[in-house]
Parts: sequence; C-alpha cells; structure tokens
Amino acid sequence: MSMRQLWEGTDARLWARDISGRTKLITLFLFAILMITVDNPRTLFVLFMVTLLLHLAAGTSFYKWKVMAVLLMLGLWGSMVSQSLFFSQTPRTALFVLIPPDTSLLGEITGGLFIYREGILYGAVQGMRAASMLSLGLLVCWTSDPRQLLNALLVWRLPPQVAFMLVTAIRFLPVLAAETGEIITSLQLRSETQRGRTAIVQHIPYIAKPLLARCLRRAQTLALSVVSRGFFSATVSQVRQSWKTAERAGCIAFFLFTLAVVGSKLCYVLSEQGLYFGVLRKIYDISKMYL
Amino acid sequence: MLHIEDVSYRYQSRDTWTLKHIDLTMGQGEMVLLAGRSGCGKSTLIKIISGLVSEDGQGTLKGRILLDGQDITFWPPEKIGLLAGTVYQSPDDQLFAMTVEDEAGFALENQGTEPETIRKEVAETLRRVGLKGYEKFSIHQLSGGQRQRLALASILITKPRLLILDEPVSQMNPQGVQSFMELLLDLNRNENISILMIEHRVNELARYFNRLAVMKDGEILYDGAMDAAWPFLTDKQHLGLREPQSVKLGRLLHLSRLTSDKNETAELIRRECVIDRSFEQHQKEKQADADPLVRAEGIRFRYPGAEEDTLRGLDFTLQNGQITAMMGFNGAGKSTLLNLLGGLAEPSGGTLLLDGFPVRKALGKVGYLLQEADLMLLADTVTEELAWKNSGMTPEKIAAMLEQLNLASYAQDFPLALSKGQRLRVVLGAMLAKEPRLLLLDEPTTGQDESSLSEIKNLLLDFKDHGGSVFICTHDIELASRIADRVILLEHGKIVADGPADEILSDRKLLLQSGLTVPAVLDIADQLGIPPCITEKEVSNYVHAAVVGRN
Repeated sequence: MSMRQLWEGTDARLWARDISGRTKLITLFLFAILMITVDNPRTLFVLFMVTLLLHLAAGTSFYKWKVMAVLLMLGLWGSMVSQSLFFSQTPRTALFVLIPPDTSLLGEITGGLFIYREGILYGAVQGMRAASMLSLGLLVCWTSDPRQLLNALLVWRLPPQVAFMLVTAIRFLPVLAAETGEIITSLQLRSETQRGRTAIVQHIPYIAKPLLARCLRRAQTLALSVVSRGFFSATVSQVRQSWKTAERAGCIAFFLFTLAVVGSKLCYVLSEQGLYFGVLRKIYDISKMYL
Repeated sequence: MLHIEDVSYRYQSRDTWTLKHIDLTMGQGEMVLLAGRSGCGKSTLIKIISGLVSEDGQGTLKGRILLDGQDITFWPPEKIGLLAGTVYQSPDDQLFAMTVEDEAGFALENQGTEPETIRKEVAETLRRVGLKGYEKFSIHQLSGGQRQRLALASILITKPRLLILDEPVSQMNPQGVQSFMELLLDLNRNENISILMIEHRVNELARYFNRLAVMKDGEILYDGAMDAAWPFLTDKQHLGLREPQSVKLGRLLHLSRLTSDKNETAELIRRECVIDRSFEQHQKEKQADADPLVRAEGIRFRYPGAEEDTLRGLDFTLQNGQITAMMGFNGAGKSTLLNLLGGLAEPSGGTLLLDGFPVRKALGKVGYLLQEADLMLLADTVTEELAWKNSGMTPEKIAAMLEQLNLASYAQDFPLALSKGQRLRVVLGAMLAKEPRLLLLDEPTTGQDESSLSEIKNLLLDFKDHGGSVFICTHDIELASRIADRVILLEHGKIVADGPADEILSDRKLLLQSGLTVPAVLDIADQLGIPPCITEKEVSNYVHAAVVGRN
C-alpha cells in the first residue's frame, strides 16, 4: 500500500463508504460529547473498543491497523507517562522514586521526581478519550469521500467556501503524507553526514516550508478547478439531499442516548452539589457506576 | 468560437501590465498551441478566459472576450465553465473526489443533475477518454497519464465547446504524450471541440497543431501557421521554445524552408545539399576503466510486501567522467535503482559498490536530485540554499557557484519564488556544492524550457569534464542524445540494452519497446541513406556541401 492510499478510503467495505457524510459527522460529534461526559475508565474503555469494532466491521486494512496502532500507542503512552510524572492533584501515591528529593542539585530543583499511581490512571483516562476520538476520526477519514463530508456541510447551510476549506484538508491528506515522505528523503539527501542520511527526526523542523509552499500552489489549483466546475454555485442536488431513513433514525437514537447520558451526568453532578432528588436515585447510581 | 479583443490585465499588486493588448481569435474546431517562457502571461490569459481573474479587487481588466458569440468578459467562472473547460498541469492538484466515477460526475452533481443521468454521462465520458472499467478505482490507483485523462473527463462531461489545457503533458513520457494527444485529436475531429493548449514542448507537439501563438512579456509576438513560425523564431532563443529536431536541422543546414515535417525536411536536404556518406562518426563511448566508479552485480530489489522483485538481477558499471542516461517505461524500476544508488534503500540481493565501498558507506560521494526538485528547497535565500549542510562552501565558492548557475542576481531571493528553471538550478547547485563523484538526476528536464534546458546541459557537461559521473533518468530522448555517452534501457526491472548512446538511441525497436519515441533525425538519416544519426550535428556531418538555400 502506497503512502497515498494509506490516507484514503476506497478499500473500506461498501456499507461504510455508503454511509452519508451527515451521519458520519453527527456520529463523530455526538461521540465527542460522550467522551467528554464520561469519566469512568471502564466505560471509556468500552467506548474505545466500540470504535475498534467499527474499524473491524468497516474492513480497515491490516496496514492501516498498524499505522493506527502506532498513533494510538503514542497518544496513550504519552498521556500516561506525562501524567504519572507531573500529576499535581491530591491524594497521590508514589509508586516509584526516580529522583529522591535529597539528591544534590536535581533533587533540590525538582523537589523529587515520582511516578504517581493516580497520575497513571488519570493519564490513561485522558489518553483513552483522545485515542477513541482519534480512532473514530480515522474511521471517518478512511471511509469517506471528501465530497460526502462536503455535501453534509453544504446541506447544513455552511457557506461553500468555508465547507470547501474544511474538507480540502482531507482531500490533500494522501498527497501531503506522500510529500512529507519525499521531503524527508530530500533532506536526507542534502545532509552532509552519514547520520543525517538515515535520520528522520532531525529533519522534521525543515519540513514545513517546502510542504507549505506546495500546499498553497495545490490549494489554488484545486480551488480554480472546482470553481470552474460550478462548485460554489452548486444547487443542492438530490444526491446531496438524500439521507437514508435508517441512518436518520440511527442518528436520532444516538442523539437521544447522548442526551440521556449528558442529562444523567448533569443530575449526578448537581446531586453532589446538594441538589438531590430521591426519585432520581437510580440515575445517580447508574451515573456513579458507569459514567 | 473565441475572440479575445484588445485584452490587457494588470494585477493590483503590480505596477506593470501582465497582459498587453492581446488579440486572439479561434474558430470552432480549431487547435492552437500557445507557447512562451514562464512568466510571459500565458496562465493569466487562461485565467481570464476561464473567468478566474476579473476586476473584483484583483486587478484591472480592459478589452473584451467573446465565447461562442457571447461577451463573457465578466461572467462568473462557473457559467464560463459550461462553455470552456480547463485542465491543469498536475492532475493531483485538480482532482477532488476519491473515486474515478465520483470525480467525473462532480460537475454534473454541482448542476443538480439527476443521479441516473449522472451515472449514464459518467459511463459515456469515461469510455471516451479510455477509462472504461476504472469507475470504482481510487484516483490514487491511476497512473499519471490516466489521472490526466480523468481530469479531462471531469471537464468533458459538461460538453464544453472549448478545451483549455495548461501544460497537460509536461509530466508524461513520450508515448504517454502521444496517446494523450491522439485522444485530443479524436475529440477535436469527432466532436469539433476547439482546443487551446499551453506547452513549452513545441518540439513534441508541433505535429498535432496547425497553429502556434507565441507570447513574451504579456504580448503575442507571433500568431499563425505552425510551419511559418520557424523562420520567425530564428535568433529568438530567448523565447525559450523547444523546436522540433527537423526545424533545428533545417536551421543548421540553412535549408530554404524550415518545417517540422521530417519527410519534407529529408526531401529538402536531398534537393538542396550534397550528402557525403563516407564520413566516419566519432564514437562517444569511452573505453571502460578497469576501476569503475560504480559496480553493480546481480542487483535485486523487492519492496516490502511485494510479491515480485522490482529489480531483477542488474549488472552494470558506471565510469568516471561519463554521463549515463537510464531510460524506459514508467514503472520499469528506474527510480528504484536511483534510490539504491542514492543510498535511500539497500538491494535485496547482489553487490552495489561505489568507489569500492557499499553505497551506504560512501554516501558523501553521491548527489541526488529528485524529480520534484521544489521539495528539496528549504532555505530563505539562494545563497543559504547553496550553503545548507555544505560546510565547505566559503563565500567565494558560493559566489563562483552562483555565477556558474547563472543566478548571481538572485543570490538573496527566496528560492521557491524563482522560475521553475531557476529553482531546479538552485537545487542542482546545492548538490554540486557537495562536490560529489556521482550525480544522480531523476527527470531533471520536466517542464523546462529550451534555455533552462541548455543551462542544465552545460552544468552537467562541465561536471563531467571535471571527472564527475552523471547518472540521469530521463524520457527526454533529445537530451539523452545530446549529452549522454551511454544509455541503459530498463524494462520490467531488467536491463534490455546497455551501450553507447548513439548505438542504443538509433535502434528503433529498442526505443519503442522501452516506451520512447524515435527521434526525427533518425528517420531523416534513414531517408537520406546515411548511417543512423541521433543529433542534428551528426546529420550535418554527412551533409556538408551547399547547393541551394545555404548561406
């Protein structure tokens, strides 16, 4: 699979590609609200697993799984490591001591460096939130034609220019990925040392300029191309208006579910602040256990 | 069909007029080739015809444009798009959808056409451009030529009367160009579509067009029959046009008439010159050194996950002080081999030695110019670019290098803002500043005009004269015939021919087998009954006595 094909979705299963852009964007939005609302690690894990199951169902290719796994692991580990080191809330339990407070200089400056148990858990929760959204975002990206998302935004009466700008990024992802690789290659070729020829990280600061210059040129040509094909004066066609009843029903159901979750959580938070109603006890229990 | 009447245009940010009193008329079904150096105003003219540049805060537009009898000067682009469609240089930049059928139907979808009608029109349009069966393909699965055909289909679906093409074939190999041009000719003949094409490569396209328009500094200097243009272009190298070999040969021999038709040129030579068949050509090929710079034995390479090898047992050597051209179809493995020589990948099998060491241990001796040279530019000025990671570049050396690159007056300019030819020379300079022993170039002449090509050629010859070895991957048979000492032809990962340039490039069967076209002078030499020649200079060695028309 080429770098370009990695970032586009023609290899996804047909049912996933056929889902309307509106359904995908609404799902993404509601899922984001759920991820913000839910604090329970187990529920977050379940939601994260749901996104992975969706990938499985959509037929995400093995190579894409590998790429996603790297991104997810980096996000999760990064979040857990940073929170375990710098967790500032109390109570906190030190599991390991990296630098004792009485160590000369470093110990005095830092006041000691510890790995906190609560920090690991907090980092895992935060990381899980980010990982779930990343996973679902990639799923949308890997199963969507830019036009689908564009149509969704246009149906929602977003100005065509704004919608185009938002979606163009997805159109260019495959090309950007390929060109980033080419720029790193060219930087390797321009290095004078043996190490520079094989290194990647040290070249990252230099990637932006040539990539940006190319992006500007590309974006201009693409804009000219779609303008002359009547995009900005497009009438909302039947294709754009069609939204399957099943999808619409699914979105409504998911919306109601999200509303219920947010409502329950809100009630629970209010109860903790003293606004307690006995009839809502079951909701408080569910919120405490699962949300 | 198209009447451009006294059109002038000035961008708001500029003091001078980019277009000056342009008059151009095209009849229905006419094909016009518009040529000129970068920055002469060709693209602005296209944008004005397409309605993409108007007076709305962008500049001042004078004159008027009539398309199909209607004054479209201030029409919105989407309305003009129904009459005149534009195809741009790089298909990657203009395609928007994910699959072939969605891309082709995009314009109709924007018009609110019924889905069923869109499906029918898409199927028909894809058939017309030779993409039937590719409907469900991802646009990234298509080859460059197929993507350009798709870009054309996405325009043709609205049934425009005028097709405007901005350097659409600049990134194609010779047979790809031929195939694309034949498609355009079919559209022109069968559907009477007018075609206005911008392109530097007049040499390759002259035979498809009857009419040529030449622009310089915002003015049309010449507008007339293709063959009548050649006398006009005498001593006008500054216009940057690449003339057909037949014309160059005619000019070299001072024939009474210059024509891009090789048969006519051969006939003129027969009539006007004396042919001396006894001349012995100087052989370009040097004797192979006992100790070559690069030694490749049984090189194999397979990409991870691939089912078969991309390179299948290559054996060759590269000599010091020699230019070797590698040619062949797209996908033959040329870029893969360059990557191995550039140290970007390691062979899956075989031995690849540079100066006696594995390539990875001798990378300081290699300079590699990628095809997308723009991606190699990363500094703020040309001077910084030459000095970047080149610790040996003193201010004196940089100044000398700038002179050599003909970029002295651009020393403090932003490299990415220079013309295409200048940008390429900056990167080439940065590579030469490393003082490599081996210089690798991947399609360095794509989209370059004649003067830029000439400057690159001189730089390479100078590098060679100083003992450097050049390995160049190119489809440009004229360039190869002019500078290469040796040619390697690659097909499906195997070397099918390796030998002196004049020997390989005069073998028709090999050329066609490798996706190349037969140089016009080879046909002319054939018709004249002289030994095979691949450059105008070689033909002139046999045709050295004036009879008629010579000065």
